[in-house]
Amino acid sequence: MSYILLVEDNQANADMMMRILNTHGFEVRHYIKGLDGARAARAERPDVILMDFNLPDIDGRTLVLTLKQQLGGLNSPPIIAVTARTGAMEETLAKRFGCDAFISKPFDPQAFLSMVIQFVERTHARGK
Amino acid sequence: MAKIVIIDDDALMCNMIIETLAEKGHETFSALDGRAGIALIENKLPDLVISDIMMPELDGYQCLELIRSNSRIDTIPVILLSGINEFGAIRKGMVLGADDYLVKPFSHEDLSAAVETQLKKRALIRNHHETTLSLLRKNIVYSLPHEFRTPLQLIMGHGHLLDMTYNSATPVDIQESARVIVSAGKRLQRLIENCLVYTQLELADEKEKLALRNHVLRDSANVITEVARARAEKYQRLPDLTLELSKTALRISEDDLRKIVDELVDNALKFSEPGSQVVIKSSYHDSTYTLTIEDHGRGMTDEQIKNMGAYMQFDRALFEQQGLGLGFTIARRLVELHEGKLDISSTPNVGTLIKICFKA
Repeated sequence: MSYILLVEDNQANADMMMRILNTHGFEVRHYIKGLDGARAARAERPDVILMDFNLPDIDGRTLVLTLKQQLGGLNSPPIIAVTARTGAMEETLAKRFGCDAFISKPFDPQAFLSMVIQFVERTHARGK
Repeated sequence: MAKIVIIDDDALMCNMIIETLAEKGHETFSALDGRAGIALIENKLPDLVISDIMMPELDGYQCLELIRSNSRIDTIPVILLSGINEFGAIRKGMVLGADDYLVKPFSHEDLSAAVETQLKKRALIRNHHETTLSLLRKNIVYSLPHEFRTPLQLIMGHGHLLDMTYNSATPVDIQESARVIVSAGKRLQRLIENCLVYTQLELADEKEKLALRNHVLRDSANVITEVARARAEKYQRLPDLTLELSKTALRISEDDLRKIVDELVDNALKFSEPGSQVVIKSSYHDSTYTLTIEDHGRGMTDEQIKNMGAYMQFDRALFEQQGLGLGFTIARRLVELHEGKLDISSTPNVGTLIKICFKA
């Protein structure tokens, strides 16, 4: 089963994202704090990481920058920024910090799910 | 380079000052009497004014009074010049709001030093305002969309989710979605209402304020109890709430008292841990009604208290929390509208005490 790691500090949002991902049969593990999420990502190597930027313990963008390196740079699982920030500049910045994709809240669950499926398939094609 | 207006009926003195300041690279404008001087200040909006005291038409003191009573120019620093080296004359200038006082004759160095001091002070104040404004802009750019988008995301997301899973969702899933939609909708409603109430309070003129004041509430204790208990229930913290209230009639509308108590109790609960007490007390002594709301939560530094205001939520980076700092500002404005006073004292990691006083 594909495994998605979700780092999101708002529980209601996290619950909703988990329900959307569960409709496709994904297993989701949720962390409220960035550093807890990063520790889990290093230990368990998820298929896709979903990362909020406004986190209680660390700036999400900075976390992506280091996490991406620790998980093997280009070989790292894809990281998708899921954030209330919006606009082309935010998206460019997110990608510069190492995010593979960017989705702005509020998002369409179908588009969100399609994006996650696409990146999970990419990870599987690469042989994790 | 700064813009400086010089007002002196002595043309020679005027020229001497202009030369000294021009040498330092400043741009100067001069007038030979007070009336022309004020017109020049209003026109040029300079960084500094240097004015003689003894002049025909308007003297230096009168000029100073006009400057300090005109909101377009009232913050411009003023250096007074006078041939009178007398304590009373100097004090009079200072009391009227002069920033410095030079006794003629003075040297080029004295003049330059006095001018540079005032310009430096003005630059510091301007910098301070710029920093506050840029923080405010940043908060509006980041916090405002975040605050609106978070509940909107939940409403739209769950709506789509119901659509996506209409033939597979369980009754429990459907109920959960419905509850999230309603609760996020309430949050959005409260946010929109607060933005509107805040704007109304900011824009109300004296006549409107008077109309809003014209109320008497017979039993304040009942209203406070009801609102505080409802808030505490929402946070599932009813056992944490202690109420010791006196049944006093107040000159305030029920709606406004509700709003004040609701916002302040909400903050007390939001910024303190479940299990810690939130104590609300009211008393009546010497025709003054006092209401206090005390929590044992996160607390604030003096600096944070000073910066509290609309759209000035702080530590956003550290704490996922709801609100724009509007609730507290609205509560304070409502207290002031009803001619009351709101004081706040707080210690980081110890708690916060809000004290409201009304003449009953």
